[in-house]
Amino acid sequence: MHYVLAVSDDEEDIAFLDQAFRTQPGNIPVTCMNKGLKLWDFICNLSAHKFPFLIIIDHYLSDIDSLALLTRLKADHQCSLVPVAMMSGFASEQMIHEYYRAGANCFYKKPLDISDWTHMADCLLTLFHNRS
Amino acid sequence: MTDCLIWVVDDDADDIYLIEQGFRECSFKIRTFSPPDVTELIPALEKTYSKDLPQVILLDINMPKVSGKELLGWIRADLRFRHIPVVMFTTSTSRNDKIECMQLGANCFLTKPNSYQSMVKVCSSLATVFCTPEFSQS
Repeated sequence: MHYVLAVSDDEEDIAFLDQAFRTQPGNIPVTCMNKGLKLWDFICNLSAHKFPFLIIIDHYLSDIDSLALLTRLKADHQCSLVPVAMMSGFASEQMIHEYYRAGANCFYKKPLDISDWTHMADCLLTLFHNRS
Repeated sequence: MTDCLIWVVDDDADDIYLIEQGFRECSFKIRTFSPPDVTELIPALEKTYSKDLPQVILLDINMPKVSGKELLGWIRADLRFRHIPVVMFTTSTSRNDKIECMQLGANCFLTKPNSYQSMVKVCSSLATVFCTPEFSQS
């Protein structure tokens, strides 16, 4: 399916993400969740052909550890090949390594303004949506 | 700002040159390294272990002595290197290749662009997403 699924409980991040992808060629829609468990429920109720082409998870989630959510997604046989991008405003090198060991496809620093968010969306689409 | 180290594992010297040129056009400070013998990838990683490991490895698939898929399997089986992002960078457009590589633990599967402009864009995207040196030093 032609959409991105994202989870963050930061309303500003959600707004930036939505705008950054919707302004890309193809007007990529973003389905946003504000809780990690909502995203998990959403995935569990999807049929395989309706999966997003990219999932974005904020490092800090209020209801579930983001590493645990990533691990669940990568252990799910239907969802395991959907690329997962982790984002954070801060993380240690050790944490980044843990995300990669758990199967994160990438880990990036949360952009600061809409221009940087749009650039990051463009880069993610180039790498994970075969656009170059 | 610390520079970002990217390893390019490819048996084609022309492709390595093009990829390196693509990274040189990025705004990031990037060093590239290509093991002279791709079969020596793991020993080369062991040699640099804990000192100067790459932040991302670009792996070609079709190489004469050892395939990129085999190398990917070796990297993912080694706890010391499992955290290193590996991007398959290949001429293959096969969906089966992509699925197999992603199942083996590749972080991304990219078909080599057929124009220099696209190569620069791909290299810039790789650097933006995988090279955040000041971040990883925190």
